[in-house]
Amino acid sequence: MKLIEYKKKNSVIHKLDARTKLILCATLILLAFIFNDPLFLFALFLFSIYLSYLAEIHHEVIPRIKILAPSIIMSFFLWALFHRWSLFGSTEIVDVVFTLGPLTVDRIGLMYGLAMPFRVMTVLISPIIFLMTTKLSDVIHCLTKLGLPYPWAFTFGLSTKLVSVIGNEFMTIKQAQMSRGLETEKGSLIKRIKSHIPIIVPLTIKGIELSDQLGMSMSIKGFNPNSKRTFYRQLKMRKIDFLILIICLTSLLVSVVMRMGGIGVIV
Amino acid sequence: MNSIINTKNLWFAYENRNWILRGINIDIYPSEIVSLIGPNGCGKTTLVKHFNGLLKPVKGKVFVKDIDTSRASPAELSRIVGYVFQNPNYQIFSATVFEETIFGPKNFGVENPEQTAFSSIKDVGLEDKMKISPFSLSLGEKERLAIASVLAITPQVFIFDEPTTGQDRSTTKKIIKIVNRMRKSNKTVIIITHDMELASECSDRVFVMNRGIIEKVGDPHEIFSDERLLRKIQLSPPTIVTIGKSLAMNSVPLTVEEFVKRLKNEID
Amino acid sequence: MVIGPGESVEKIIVENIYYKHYNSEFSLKNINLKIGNEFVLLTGPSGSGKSTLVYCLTGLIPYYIRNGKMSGSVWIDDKNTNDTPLEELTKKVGVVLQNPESQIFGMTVEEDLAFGLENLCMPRHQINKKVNEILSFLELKKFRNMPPEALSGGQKQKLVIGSVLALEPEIIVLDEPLSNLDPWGARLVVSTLEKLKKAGRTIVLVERKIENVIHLVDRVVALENGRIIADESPRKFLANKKLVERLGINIPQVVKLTYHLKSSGFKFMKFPLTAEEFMSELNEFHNKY
Repeated sequence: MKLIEYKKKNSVIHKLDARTKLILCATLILLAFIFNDPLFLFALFLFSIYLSYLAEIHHEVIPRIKILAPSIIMSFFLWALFHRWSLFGSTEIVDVVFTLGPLTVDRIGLMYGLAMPFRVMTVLISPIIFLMTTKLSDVIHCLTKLGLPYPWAFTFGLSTKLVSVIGNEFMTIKQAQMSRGLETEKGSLIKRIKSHIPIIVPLTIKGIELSDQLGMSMSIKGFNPNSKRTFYRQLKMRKIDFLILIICLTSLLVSVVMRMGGIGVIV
Repeated sequence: MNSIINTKNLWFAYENRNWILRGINIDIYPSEIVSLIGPNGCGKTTLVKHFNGLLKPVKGKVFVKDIDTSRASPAELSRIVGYVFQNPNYQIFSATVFEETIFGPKNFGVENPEQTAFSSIKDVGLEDKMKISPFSLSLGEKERLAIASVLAITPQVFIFDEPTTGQDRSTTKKIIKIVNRMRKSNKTVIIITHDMELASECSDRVFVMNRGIIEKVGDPHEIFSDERLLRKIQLSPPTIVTIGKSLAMNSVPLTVEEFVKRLKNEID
Repeated sequence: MVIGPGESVEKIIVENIYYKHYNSEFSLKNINLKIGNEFVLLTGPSGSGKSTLVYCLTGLIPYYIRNGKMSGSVWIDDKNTNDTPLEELTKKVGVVLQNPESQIFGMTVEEDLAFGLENLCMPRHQINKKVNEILSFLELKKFRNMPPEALSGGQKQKLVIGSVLALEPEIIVLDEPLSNLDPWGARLVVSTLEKLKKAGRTIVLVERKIENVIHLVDRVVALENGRIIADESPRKFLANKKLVERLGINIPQVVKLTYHLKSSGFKFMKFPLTAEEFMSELNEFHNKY
């Protein structure tokens, strides 16, 4: 399963301008950090799942979340037990819920423990939604329009493409070496790391060759990162894009006010 | 005669994707040399990867020397079935040609690996490059090194995946020599190739694949003079066959040498 | 080579080129060549300098390849490659290299064709028009919105040719485009080359698999050890059996057969390049004797 790949669909979300989607994703992430009340974060998490459903990619998102389930569950325990040592938590013990030997879980710890997994998941789902509903060239284009220098945006786009190419090469090289008896699963950690040398060496060489050839191909197509260029694909903002942008901005402002007023915060 | 490789109703697809192999039933016998031809995407490489356990059937079974491949690891099967991958650059990583060749036998616990590596290097004609870095070899020499590194494992079956693609004529000739020598030592050889001349000169039988099924199996003469078959897979027959047919020769020759011999006989 | 009245004569002039690697080896020595509006086959054993010559003809030497020094001049349509920026040269000469994977950039076929035109700052509607033209010419219309990964090897190579054509160069140089292709893919590319020839482009093709293309070629230039050792019509070139064998080219079956028959006393009017020509020569011979 490729980590993040554009999925071609005809959903409402897909049809939005790339910039709108980027801002939407950023808003969700910011909101997830503004609040820390588990109820608010849970609602935010549900909303991000709803967005993925609207984008018709919920069946892609959920398995990926499942893979991360162990770390998410771990974060629950970490926060519940150790929030007093975190930078953001309070340091008092209030309303002990239960004790586990030397460790105590208090009400605040419990709240944090419940809240943080939802924050983590929302922060992970948002960029997944953005990248899965936006064509790579649009991602590059919108980053450029928002001020990122074109060469950076282009490099980012090309690296994503290269990752999948190199990924395929990795598999083939691994199979070729396995056919010569290479074992990568047995033995001590050090032995297993060493066993990857016959894979990494050909792979690195291939990677270098590939980038060199790509560079050559780009020059012979007249590529010049420093000069002006046309963008073939158009980014068009429609009424709905502006509407969503306004909603995003408003919700951010409102949330900041709420937060300052103590709403949505754990007490 | 018992086949050394046997597939029964083999179906294969990667997860959630279309079927690549659709019910393949083949037998490959010990000591024979077979060629596997067909358009790109017809499943040739996918099929042979089942012979050393890199892939397992989704439906059906594959047997190598009567071992059910779904129950064996690639390591076990690679000891019996050696695979020379298409691009030698996928394998090369060592400091010298000798070290590269001895990698395989060491992994498999072959007896006297130094001796086997040494004789494999000789068999492919690279003895004067033994201490050289493999990265400084030409493409043809790298291909021969890849062959040597698999020879050194002393498997009974060899799979060559497009050994002559991108190579020049002299390398092709050397590879044909190596394959013919394998025939003399009773090895079983499977060659995936597009090179009809290679297939004609070396093979006992030719398997024609198209869209995941075996279209036909036969000796090179049968296959390369079967116009209907070749038209179906959109392959033009070798030029010699076309000329032979225009001259209304019965049993059309496949190589220039055959043609000339036949012509001489007919004149005399 | 027949020159019509008013036709520009030389598209590429190569004057006294030497290319010396920094490790002191010369990969090109004393290369002098004039190429007009023709289909030139550049051939020779590996290491003879074919690729280096291609790089010199296209501006990659001196702009991209820095492992040595070129002395002498290359003029592409009156522009000296030493003094003209690479972006200008790419409008005059397009290059197709061996491996299609490293020459495709777009997320879809359409985008890939547009890439070069975007670099040129062509206005959007013009890009659209050009892309449509090329898709028709290459018969790739139905692949317009598909990702390049969905194409076969031969179709990918066609796409690369298309993305080069988008810049409308008069000269196209191809470095062994058939070597990694199967017979089906090679056929696709060869039919594209036929179309390009009909459309009047100057083509310089480096290939060892000459069987597929020899019937299209106007002129064969052979390199050995960095020097030009032959420069003549394909029939004259092939008739020189010793040279052809020495160069280690994949000899087409028709040619091998012709050599055998010639040595047994058959006389050919002209050296046959295809099975049909061979048959008609045989019939002629038969009729005479």
